[in-house]
Amino acid sequence: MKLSFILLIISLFVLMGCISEVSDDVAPPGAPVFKGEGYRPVYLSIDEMRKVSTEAPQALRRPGKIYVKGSYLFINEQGKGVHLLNNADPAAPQKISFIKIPGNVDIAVKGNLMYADNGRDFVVLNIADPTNVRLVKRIENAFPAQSYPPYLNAYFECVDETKGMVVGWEKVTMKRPKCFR
Amino acid sequence: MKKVLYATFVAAIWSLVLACSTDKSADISPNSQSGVGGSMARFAIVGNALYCVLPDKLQVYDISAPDSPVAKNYVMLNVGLETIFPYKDNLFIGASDGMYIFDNRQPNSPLLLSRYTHVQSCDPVVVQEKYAYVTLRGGVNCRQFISLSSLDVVDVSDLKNPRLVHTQPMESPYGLGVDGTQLFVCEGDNGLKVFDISKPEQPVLKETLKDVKSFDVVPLSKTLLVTGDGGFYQYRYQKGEKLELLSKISIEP
Repeated sequence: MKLSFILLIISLFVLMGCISEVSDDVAPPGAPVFKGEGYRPVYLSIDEMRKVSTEAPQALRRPGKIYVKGSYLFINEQGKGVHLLNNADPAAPQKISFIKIPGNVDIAVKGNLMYADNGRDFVVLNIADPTNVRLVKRIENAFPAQSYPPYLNAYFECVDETKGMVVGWEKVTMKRPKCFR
Repeated sequence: MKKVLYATFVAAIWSLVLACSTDKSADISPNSQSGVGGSMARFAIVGNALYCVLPDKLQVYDISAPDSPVAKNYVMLNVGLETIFPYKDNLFIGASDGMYIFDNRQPNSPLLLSRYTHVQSCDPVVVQEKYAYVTLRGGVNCRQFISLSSLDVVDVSDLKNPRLVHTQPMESPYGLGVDGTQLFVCEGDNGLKVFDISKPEQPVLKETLKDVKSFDVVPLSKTLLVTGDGGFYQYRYQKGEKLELLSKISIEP
């Protein structure tokens, strides 16, 4: 009797062990199974985030949204800034410059002015000279903090606000993180 | 004297004409209008109003003084707003609980006309004439416990009462664009698709560019601009013809 009770307890512990291990691997309801890759927040200090500048043309790495204004073409580099191109001839687009705007996802242009998100700030840039873009206005904290990546069905490392401001996300190999969207 | 003046005047005009015609560089003039974004955009400019779609509200900035936007009205909505598409006198907002349609004849005070909750959409919307085209990407936040993705066509001729007229399964749709009888849909890693929408309520798949990993697309006067994990592509598009690649800027590591 005693022995079977002990066996029962042991088997219960084993089972519980199994269950918790299994539940670590099981995806949340409706979510795909974690395949070893997830998104990790990219943090920046506020000072670093606010460094907006015009740089030489750069390679496309993670192109995001497109914006067209006349023969100018703007291609967002996710979380980094905007590639500015002359697209007068779509068969041969010419890179003009790269506008570094940390945390950038979206832009809109009217006249000589470009409106952009710069992390949590909203900035207005004068692009009359695309090789020397000037900051004309900054509205601080116009946007809410990023608490999840701009993707769905994505596993990601939960945001730790003590590490700074989230300006982007990188896809990396990781152990299954706690957060999912 | 008059002749000299006249000659000078003609010369001046002529040199201006020459200056203009020889200047082939891209032009950003202070008087020109705003540009065009893709269906994934969260910012949109209509006249002197700049709309920002934040996760839980539509924020309006007045840009009458263009270098100094002033935060004006905002409309609080449910959490999960993602995209904005201005069309004629309306704003179409794609959100995780559906599509919101606003009247923006008063640009600084958009008025909510309807919320189309039949589509549990996480994704963008484009509009042409009386139809809205919406892609829905499956995922827990978008469609609870349903992991199917689809392309939906919604009749918006009655803006207060949008009506689903067609739905068909998709793989992993992101941005989309519409021009005339052609509808372009980004399918993420699954390529780029072209539909014939001669009958808008019945899009017919015409072409799939399997290798073109696509995220955002803008069709603009016969040139299709596409971004995605493979880079930036431009195609010539014409009714009834296959896409013709014009240029590509590849991704570099």
